[in-house]
Amino acid sequence: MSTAYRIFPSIGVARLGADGDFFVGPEMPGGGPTEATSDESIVPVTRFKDNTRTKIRKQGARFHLFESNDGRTWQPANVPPENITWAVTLVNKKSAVDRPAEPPIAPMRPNVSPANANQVIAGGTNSIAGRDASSPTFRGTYKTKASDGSPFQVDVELGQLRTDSKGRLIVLGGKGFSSAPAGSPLGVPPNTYYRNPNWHDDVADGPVTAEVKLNSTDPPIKAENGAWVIVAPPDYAPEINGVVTLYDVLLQLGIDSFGFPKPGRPSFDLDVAPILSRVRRLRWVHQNASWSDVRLESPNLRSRAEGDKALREQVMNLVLSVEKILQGHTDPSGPPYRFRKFQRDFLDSWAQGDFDDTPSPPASAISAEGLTRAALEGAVGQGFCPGIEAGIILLDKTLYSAPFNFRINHVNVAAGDLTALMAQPWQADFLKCNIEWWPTQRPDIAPQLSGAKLNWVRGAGQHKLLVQRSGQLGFIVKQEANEVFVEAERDPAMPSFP
Amino acid sequence: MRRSVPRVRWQKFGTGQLSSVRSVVSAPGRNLEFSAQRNETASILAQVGVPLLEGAQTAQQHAIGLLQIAAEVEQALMVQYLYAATSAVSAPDAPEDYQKKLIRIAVEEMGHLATVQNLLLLVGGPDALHLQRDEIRKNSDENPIPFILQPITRVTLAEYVAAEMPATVPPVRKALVDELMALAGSATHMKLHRVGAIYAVLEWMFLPKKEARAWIDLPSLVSLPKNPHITSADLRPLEEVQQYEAQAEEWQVFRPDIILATPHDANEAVQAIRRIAAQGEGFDDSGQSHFQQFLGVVDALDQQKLSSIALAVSPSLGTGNGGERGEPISHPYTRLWGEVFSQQYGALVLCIYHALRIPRQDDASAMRRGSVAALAVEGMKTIIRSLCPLFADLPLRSNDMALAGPPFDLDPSLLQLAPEEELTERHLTTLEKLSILYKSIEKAPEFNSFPQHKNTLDNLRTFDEQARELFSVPTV
Repeated sequence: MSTAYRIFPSIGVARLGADGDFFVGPEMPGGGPTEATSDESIVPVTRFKDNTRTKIRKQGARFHLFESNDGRTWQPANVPPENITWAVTLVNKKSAVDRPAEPPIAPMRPNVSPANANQVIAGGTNSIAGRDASSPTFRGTYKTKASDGSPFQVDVELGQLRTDSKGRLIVLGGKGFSSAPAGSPLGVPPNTYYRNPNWHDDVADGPVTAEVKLNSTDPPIKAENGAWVIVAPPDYAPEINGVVTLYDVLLQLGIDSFGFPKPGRPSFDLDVAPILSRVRRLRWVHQNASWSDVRLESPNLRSRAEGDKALREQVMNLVLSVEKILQGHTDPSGPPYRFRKFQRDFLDSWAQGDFDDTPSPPASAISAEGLTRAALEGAVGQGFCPGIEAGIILLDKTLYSAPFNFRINHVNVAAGDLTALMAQPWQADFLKCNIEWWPTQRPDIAPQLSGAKLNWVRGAGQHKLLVQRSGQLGFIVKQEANEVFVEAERDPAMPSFP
Repeated sequence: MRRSVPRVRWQKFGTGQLSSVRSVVSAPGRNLEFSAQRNETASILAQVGVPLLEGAQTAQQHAIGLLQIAAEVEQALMVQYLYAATSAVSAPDAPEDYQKKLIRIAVEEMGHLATVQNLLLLVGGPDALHLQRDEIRKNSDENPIPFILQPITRVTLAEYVAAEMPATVPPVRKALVDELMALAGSATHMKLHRVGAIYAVLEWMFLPKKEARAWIDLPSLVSLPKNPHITSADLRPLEEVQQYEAQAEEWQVFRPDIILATPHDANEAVQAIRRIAAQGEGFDDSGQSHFQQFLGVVDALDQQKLSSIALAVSPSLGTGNGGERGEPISHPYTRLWGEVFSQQYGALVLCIYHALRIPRQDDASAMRRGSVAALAVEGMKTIIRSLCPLFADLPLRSNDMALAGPPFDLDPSLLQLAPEEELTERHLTTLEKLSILYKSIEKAPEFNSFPQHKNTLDNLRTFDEQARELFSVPTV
């Protein structure tokens, strides 16, 4: 069999930031974002903003090229960076699509009416090759009309491509720029947290491809089925993941619709402990005593003993209470917040004592599957109302290539489709969706070193203020090696109200 | 000194006098459906009577009285729907979450309540704001909505359909509605259309004289002041209204179905009243009106996509300030939680009232108002919603298994007109009572039988601490 190439992660997540500096998103399951080192060292990010604390560092989505000779095992491609040409297309079509008043309750493909075509922000396609290279900026133009009919036009940067010293692609996103004609209402009736006509932002998504030119005579070899990048809003608690992540959602979809292998007997360390950890960490971003319940910390949780079964069952019920405390959708017909079936199966098996308690350390090296899992575990998978990085459209199985390996089908999906029906602009949703929604990306509380818990959005508690001040808000970050998180890098000049 | 409680009377006129009612068929821009609806409204007013404030001398006084009873109706409905939601259990294959649907309707009533407060502000100023629930309704000769807390049954749904019924029922639903009306009618406490009558008369009063008289010549039918229409002279200064009005952003209104109108003149007041009427309790009907939504819930019950937890009817603390025609909670442990619930509910309503009473005069007062409003919103989202389900596991009495339910007793003294300092004291007093109740709950022998109750108390204490910090800061 000839050598085949694939890009991993199959779906990468970049994040907006006004700062020119960047780090990269998680590359190992269970890990957080890391500095973009050129060797394989993992250096956790400790600074998410610039020195002024007003500009967020971008999160880059780093894509690796892997090769395989048997189609099953994948290792980093042994190809000189100069022989790899990456290409990415980025589009934002949020303002242009036909948009309901509230997020769709089932997967819905975005539709752009011809009359709204001007509102598509087409960043175009950029290519890049070699080491430590930079591409031109992805630039588009947003055009609309103010309420008095006067034209409004603004240039919007959607990002840039870089390569590192090993020739790996890094996709950087926009600056977090949202705007609209003067006087355009935001977030107040008749507009909503989801639909604000004439507003744009600069999230984006699109295909990632790679071509390998091994020599001057043979045609280039395309990486199989490419990959996809989503440029999402900032994650203000980057080491605290959703209890249900986009990886969980896509894995379940793969199992249900594509015959993807169902996980077997759960490993405590690799399958159950991550769920428990994500529930425990909610205490740093969400106000509910359940997350601090001492039973979640018990060392006996990894015990298979019959005598510990009652504890396991209690903790399982505590974990499942997330489904009642966090919301799935505002519409009663919409999908409720639910663990995926395989997660429920893991928890049930664990509660019954049927699990592998062999100590299994977390991944310590980058792997193909691990890259995809890490990228998608950094994105929330519930509630899809509409979500943060990508929404309910991801439940549409026609998005994916077959056989399933978490890969978007470039034939069936156009650039901009995955983010098209997310909130317009993203800040409108961020303001309104507290308490019951995505505290792991948009915290409710900002724990302080003193032990106090303040309102995370204080000082930006109005729609247009959040658009202006989203770069000034704090990040909820881990204190050294302890499982203690506090607010850091909030701009001290930011007022504490509204 | 406590003011005397106003009283609304429904003045009857004979159907023979309906010849005084003129339709507006010929008026430009009107359609036949609207005209038929207006005729239907007039017929219903003939049946139920025209609600008017006893002793009122001016249109302004009538409007304030009717808006205040409307406010009580909205709060009573909201709470009854929340109670019904607490009992709702959707089948696993149900097409929607009916508990969420009922909560959504309750939240829409909250929007009506807020809009009515803005209307009160427009005609009566901040002293006219009214967050009582039981005063005027009970004092009036016909209580438009008796306050009875009931779990979902076909009868209770029939009552809600009746309460929200428009003047004209879509033909495709007529058979079901007729059946439900017969069911509701047999429940002696329902008075059909009285709520719609309140909004109809309010609309009439805010309309320009010519348009109102073209609809119904009310002065020829009932005794009204010489000038029965609201004029611009009756309205409060715009600057004052804007300082006090409830605004969508402040109250985190982010859904298109929640009405929170901010009327600044009589025409905007008419539009606001019509929107409330179309969605809920008036004689108009929108496609997603409460009437239509409740019919959907009836369908779900009939198709067994929805069942109900057998909560008690009007469980109360026996203070006389709770649900009517029910039974006091006598199980000691449940009673402790019932007192916690009622204190938290009272604190929430007080919080709403308090926020509305703070003008946006400067940054400091705007900040304080916003903080109190934010506390109220958080209280609604977290405390009330998390406490309601608790009662589905708690017994009403000591000697049998009958379930209780959240009691919603509301102490009217919390909501009497007072300076802000006194409102703040009321919060702090309530917090002290709650603190004592929590300790009693922890000491109760039943406490350890409910593993989740510890977390619930921890959440309550955390929330109360926020409130204590807010209200311990000196007022501006």
